Amino acid sequence: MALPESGEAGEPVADAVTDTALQASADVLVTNEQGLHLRPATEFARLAMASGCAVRVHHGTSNGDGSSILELAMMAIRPGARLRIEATGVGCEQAVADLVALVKRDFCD
Amino acid sequence: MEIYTGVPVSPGVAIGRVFLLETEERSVPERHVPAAEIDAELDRLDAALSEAREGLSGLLNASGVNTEMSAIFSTHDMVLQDPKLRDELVATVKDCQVSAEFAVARFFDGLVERFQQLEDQYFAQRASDMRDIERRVLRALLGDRQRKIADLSEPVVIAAHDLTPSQTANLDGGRTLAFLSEVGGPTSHTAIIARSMGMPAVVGLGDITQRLEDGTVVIVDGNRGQVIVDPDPAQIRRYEQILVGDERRRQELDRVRDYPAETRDGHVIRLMGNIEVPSDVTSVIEAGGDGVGLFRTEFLYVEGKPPPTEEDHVDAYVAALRQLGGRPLTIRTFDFGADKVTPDPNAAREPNPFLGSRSLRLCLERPGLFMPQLRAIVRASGYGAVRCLFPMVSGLEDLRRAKAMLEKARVSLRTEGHYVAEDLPVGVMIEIPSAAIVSDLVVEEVDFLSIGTNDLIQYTLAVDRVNERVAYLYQPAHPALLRLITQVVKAGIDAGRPVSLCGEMAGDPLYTILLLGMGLREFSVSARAIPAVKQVIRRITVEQSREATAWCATATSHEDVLARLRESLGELVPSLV
Repeated sequence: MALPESGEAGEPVADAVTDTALQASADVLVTNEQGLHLRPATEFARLAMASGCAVRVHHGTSNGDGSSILELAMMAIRPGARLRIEATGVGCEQAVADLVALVKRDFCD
Repeated sequence: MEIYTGVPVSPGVAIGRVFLLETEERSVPERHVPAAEIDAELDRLDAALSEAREGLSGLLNASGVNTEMSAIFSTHDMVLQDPKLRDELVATVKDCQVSAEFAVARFFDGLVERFQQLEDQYFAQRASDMRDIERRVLRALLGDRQRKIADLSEPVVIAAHDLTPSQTANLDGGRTLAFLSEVGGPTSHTAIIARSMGMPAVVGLGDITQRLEDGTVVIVDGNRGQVIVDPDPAQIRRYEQILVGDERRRQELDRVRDYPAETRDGHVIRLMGNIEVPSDVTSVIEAGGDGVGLFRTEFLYVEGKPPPTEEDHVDAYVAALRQLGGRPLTIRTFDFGADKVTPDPNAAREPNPFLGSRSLRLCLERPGLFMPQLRAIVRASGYGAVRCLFPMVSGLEDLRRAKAMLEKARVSLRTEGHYVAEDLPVGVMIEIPSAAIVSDLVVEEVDFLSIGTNDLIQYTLAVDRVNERVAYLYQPAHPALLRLITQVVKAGIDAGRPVSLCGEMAGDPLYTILLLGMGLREFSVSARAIPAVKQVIRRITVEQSREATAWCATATSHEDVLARLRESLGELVPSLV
C-alpha cells in the first residue's frame, strides 16, 4: 500500500482532516512517555474497533491495521513519532477525530 | 510397522487406536487433521478463543483486581480479539491441515520471536504476556479435547508427552485402554495413574508422539516396555492371543478372590495391597486383600506446588481408612529422591543420588516437610488401624532420630487436645543391606519389619536396574539375596514381630513358594497381583514350601533357583508359569 505523503520533520503537525467521501485521515504526534506500547495500543485498537471503520495507521514506511493490537505493537512506535491515522467507512471523520484525541491525551481515559 | 522401546511401568497389553493428549506446558506436536474435519477444528478454535476471553472477563470482574492487573487483562483480551490473530490461525489450520493447538503454538512462537527482534527492551519483555495468552487458549483447547474422549466410539490408548495430574484426574477408566508417554519413569504421574487404573503403560518413549496421529493403531506391551506402531496382522494376532490368555487367567483368579489366603495345611497368610492413592483401596479390597501393607505417599507432593499441609495428609489417610473398614493401613513416610520426584528441584544435583540425601534422610534434614506428615499419621491413628513405616533406614541411628520426631509429634498433638491412639505400630523398611544385616537389632526397637526388595536388590548387588548395560545382573534369586532375606525373616520370627515383604518380588507368584518356605507370613503386593499370589498360597503346604526353599538355599546360581521354582509352580498352578 502506498503511503500518504506526510509533512517534513519538524513541521508543526496539523490536525487537518482530509475528507474524500468515506475516507478521512489526519496526522498526530505521539507524546506519551512510552510510545505505542501494549497498553496504549490496547486503548487505540479498542477505539478503532468500536468505530466500525477500517482504520490504518501509517508510520514512516510501515503501516498496520489500527484495530489489531498485534500489528500496532509490531510497528514499535516510539514517543515523538508522527502517525497518520486513516479511516474508511461510515463515520470515518468522527473515528479519526476520536483516535487523534486519544493519542493527544496520551491514551488516558 | 515400527517398534519403540521404553520403560514398562504398568503390566498388561492393549491393542487400540491412539488419542493424543497434549499439554500446554511444552511444545505442541504437529497433529494432522483430515480435510473432512477442518470445519469442526475451526469451531473448536473459535470456542477456545471465546472460552479464553470468558476466563479473562471472569478475572476482570473478580474482586480485588487492581488497575494494574485489570490493564494487563484487558490487553490480553484485546490480543484475543485481534482480527489478525484469528485470521492467521484459521489460515494455518486450513492450509496446513493441522490441529488448532498446533496453529496456536506456531502463531505465538512466531509472535514471541518477532517481539524479541524489535529493538526495544519493553517488547522483548512482553514475550511472557504473549506466552500467558497462548497458555490460556491452549488450556481451553486441551480441556475441550479431553472431553472429546467421552464421545469416541471406542476406548483409546492415551499418548502424551507427559500426563499432568489435572489431566488424569478426569480420565474415565472405561474409555481408556493404555497409556504411553515420552518422558517419565516408574514413579512418574503417568505410571502411578496407570497402575492405579490397572492399565498397561510404557513411558520414556522419546519422541514417539511425532510418529503418532489420532487413530494410529498401536500395541502397548506393558510387560516388556514396547510400543508397536502400525503393527502388522501377524503381530496383532499374536497379541490378541495374549489378551485372550490374560482374560482367561483373570477369570480363573477371580474365583479365588473370596477365599482366605490360607495354605492347604491351615497356615493363614496376611496378603495385603500396595497403594499409591487413597482410591486404590477399592481395588485392593475387590481383589480380596487383607489391608494395605504399603501406602506410598509421594502422590501428595506435586512438583512445582507448595508441599502438602498437615490437613492434606490427614484427608488422604482418613479417606483410605474409611474404605478399609478396620483393616490396617501402613503409611510409608515420604520416599523422595533418586528416581522419584524431589521436593527440591533447585537443590544442587548430587553426584550419586541413590547414595545421597533421599527418602528418610531428606525428611530428617527438612522437618518443615516431615513434621506435617508425622503429625498427620498420628492424627489418622485416631480413625483406624494405622501403622507408620519409615523407608531407607540404614541402622539404629536414623531409626531413633525418626522415632524421636514421631514421638515429638505425638506429644504435641496430645497437648493440643487431639485424640491420639494409644497404639501406633512403627516399622522400618529393610531395603539397605546394612539394615538387613543388623535386622536382629533393628527389630528390637520397632513393631514390625517390611522388606523392600526393589532397593535391597539394587544396593546388595550394586546394580541400577534401569541401566540396560547391567540390568541382567539385577536378580532377585541371587543366592546373596536369598540369604539376606532369610536372615531378616528369621530376625522377625525370633523377636516375635511380624515381617512383611512389599517389593515386586512379593507380587511374583514364582517367589511365593520360596518366601513362604523362608517363614514369611505377610505379603504386600499390587492389587492386581493379589489373586495369583493367593492361588499359590491356597495350593501349597508349608512343608512343601520349606522343601523348595531348603533346596534353593543350596543353589549356587539364580538360574538354578529360578528353574526349581518354575518346576514347583508348574506342579501347583500350571496356568501361572
